[in-house]
Amino acid sequence: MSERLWRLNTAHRMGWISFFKEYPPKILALTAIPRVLLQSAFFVLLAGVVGGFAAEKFALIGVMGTTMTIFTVTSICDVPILEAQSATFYRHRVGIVSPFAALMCRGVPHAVAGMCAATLILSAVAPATGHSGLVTDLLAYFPIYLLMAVTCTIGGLTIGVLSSPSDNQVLASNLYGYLILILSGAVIPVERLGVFGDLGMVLPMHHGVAAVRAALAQQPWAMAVLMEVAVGALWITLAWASVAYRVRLARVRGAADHS
Amino acid sequence: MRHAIEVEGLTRRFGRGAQEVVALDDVSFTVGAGEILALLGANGAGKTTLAKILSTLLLPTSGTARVNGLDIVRDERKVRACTAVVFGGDRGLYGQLSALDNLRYFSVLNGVGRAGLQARLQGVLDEVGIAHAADRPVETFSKGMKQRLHIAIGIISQPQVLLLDEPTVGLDPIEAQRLREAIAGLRSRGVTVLLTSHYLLDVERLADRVMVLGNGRISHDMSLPEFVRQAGYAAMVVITGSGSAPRTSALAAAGLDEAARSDDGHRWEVRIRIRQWSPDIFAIISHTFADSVVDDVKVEQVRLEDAFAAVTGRAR
Amino acid sequence: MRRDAATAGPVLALVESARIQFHLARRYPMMIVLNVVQPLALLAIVLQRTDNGPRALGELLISVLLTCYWGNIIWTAGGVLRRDRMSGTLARTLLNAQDGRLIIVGRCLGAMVTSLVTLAITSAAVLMVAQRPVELPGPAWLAMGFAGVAISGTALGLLLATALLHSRHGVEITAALMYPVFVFGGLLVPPEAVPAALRWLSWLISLSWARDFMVHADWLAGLGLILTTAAYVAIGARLFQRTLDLARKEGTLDLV
Repeated sequence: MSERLWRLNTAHRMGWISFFKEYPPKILALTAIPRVLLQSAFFVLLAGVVGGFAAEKFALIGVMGTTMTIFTVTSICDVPILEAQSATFYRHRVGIVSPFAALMCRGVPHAVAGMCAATLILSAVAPATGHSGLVTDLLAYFPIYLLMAVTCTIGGLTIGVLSSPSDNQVLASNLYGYLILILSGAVIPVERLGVFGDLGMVLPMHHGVAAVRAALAQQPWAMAVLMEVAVGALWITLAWASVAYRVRLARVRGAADHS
Repeated sequence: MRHAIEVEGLTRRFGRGAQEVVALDDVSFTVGAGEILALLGANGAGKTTLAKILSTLLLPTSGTARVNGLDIVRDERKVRACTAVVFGGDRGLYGQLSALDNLRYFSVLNGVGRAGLQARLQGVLDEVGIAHAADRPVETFSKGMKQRLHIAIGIISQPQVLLLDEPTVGLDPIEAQRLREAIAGLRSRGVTVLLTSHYLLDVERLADRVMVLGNGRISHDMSLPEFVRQAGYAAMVVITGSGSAPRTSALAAAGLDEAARSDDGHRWEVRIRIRQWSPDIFAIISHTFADSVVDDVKVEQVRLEDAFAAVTGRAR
Repeated sequence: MRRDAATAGPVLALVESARIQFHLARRYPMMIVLNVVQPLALLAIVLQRTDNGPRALGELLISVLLTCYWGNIIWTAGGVLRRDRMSGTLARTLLNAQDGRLIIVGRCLGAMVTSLVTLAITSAAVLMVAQRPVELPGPAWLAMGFAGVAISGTALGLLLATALLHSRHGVEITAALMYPVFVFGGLLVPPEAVPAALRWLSWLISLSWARDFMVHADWLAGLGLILTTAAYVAIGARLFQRTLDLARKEGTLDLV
């Protein structure tokens, strides 16, 4: 492993240490896992209340993606927020590893946790809600969920970086999570959202969920996957720009807490 | 002497229009390699701003600064590789994580290589005296232990230039002394240190040179002995005795200042400020107090507080 | 004169606590999430069903409102002491001349009334924009229902605020408490949609009784609401005293 990769791996390792400080095994087992299961079950059952069994099946495919936001949006926002609260961001700025690269590496555990959440939903919520038949079908398209975990993590990190200097991180991360839930077409078909559905096209998950549904319906899905990749590229650019902007702003204006 | 830090016409302004604050105003100086320069000044004098600019955290409004010949604006990455900055205080560390986790992570970010990292982590923790608490969460640390961890993060990358901002603030005297010893150890390794401090004891024990900032400008730049002389006296002779207080008019006639006097009717104390030592001084004092009962004679060193008060008074 | 002061003191403390919480709540970003964003999202989903008549829509509206209100109970009222601990004001809340329980009850009541009013405004705005006719129970039932919900939310707030104070993972625990009630609380997800063995869980949730009371004008459900609320008060008051004793005996809480 090159020296540069080793440094990035150290940042990635730090990401795991921080992740397990936030979610020690007991807290993970008693709070995060039940939340994943019950949140996804709630939206699947709610879709059923509104539109019957077919709507439940429709929602399950989407909710497997959107429930990841517990980790890929809400908790990943804590990474830049922790920097702001601990006033440690300046240490990244004076280091030889780019702050953007360090933050991205520290976000990896959240993407992995997102994928674990999807796996959990598929193995527990799908059978519990009477959709066992979907399990094997969806397993085949797991790489698309992996792609969604990555794009969503990048988006969550961007929101965290942009909102961390203010007191609005909680609002920003939750708002972003709910926008993904509603506008990605996870629970409500996109065509019923009108102009809001178009807004969802630039959000993570939107094209990924569409790709999985198209694949299950034996329709072309590669283009939707490419669109999800493009959305990921858009958000990674935004993430880079927002970190660069914060670094530049701090260097030009100065900050009382050295951040 | 090769210059480790060269600053020329450095100016930094914050805000605009009526809100504008000039933190540094046309500051120029150099620091030789291996030299320890103490930067003194009242709150808001621009000390931290200077440390931030030299560590590449802040851009200057105008002027240039070079560290080891590298421009802090153009060659920021190279400057970071040879510089470390230590801002003290409770923040700047991950409270929930252990000291070792903090140290390892930040040292890797600061450019410490893979080879021998483990040994260096242990060595630095030993050096700053927190090896016994390496695995404890930082949030359980005392202020002094946090400060020592800050120093450990600063020195582990073996920087050629170390910028220390108030390193002993909040420490008890024993911890402060231990820290001073650690910083003094850097001198023997040839590390250039820019030290900003409110504690004149730090300056006295560590600095080769003293620079005083006032209102963003350098008001004084001199060697430590020169700075000490700014107090206006070389020493203070304190004579205590009992019985009736002596008449000291002869002191003034001989050019010696009586700085203070106390007398409760039974015991008295006279403090004499010595501007410059000469063999005559002992004769004058001996003559002045010849008829008094003298219990004790002490010679006190110049207090740096007096030197600082003298120069900042002039700066004002 | 002295007796007046003794009576006025607790009342004043209660009112002042409610007032201060109202002001704090306005600055709490989660309030927007819980009272605007979440009801908007849930209403966007339930309004997809277009064959609902005004009465069915009214039932759904109350269910959405109570579902979001649960979020308010756990985050705003349940987090009262946790946030005090973070801002270093816990000792001032728990240890003063007035009974600490009174202060927390006042704070929770302030939070609950604020969230009920905000939720009602959000729901009304959504229905106006969606132009969907809705039929709600009579004003007397609605008023009694909401009063019961405010009191019950306050009682639950006292219980949760004290219980969540013990853990440094209060945020994660709070987040985890949200969906069990969403799924098993008998609010938006009907009890028959969950496994039969778990349906009894909704009996423990006062909001479930409150929903039945308002939607079906059921006096028996009203009794359920009163009994569950009384249980929350009893457990909350005991837990509070235990927490306070523990804090003073073992120094287990950062009181300052």
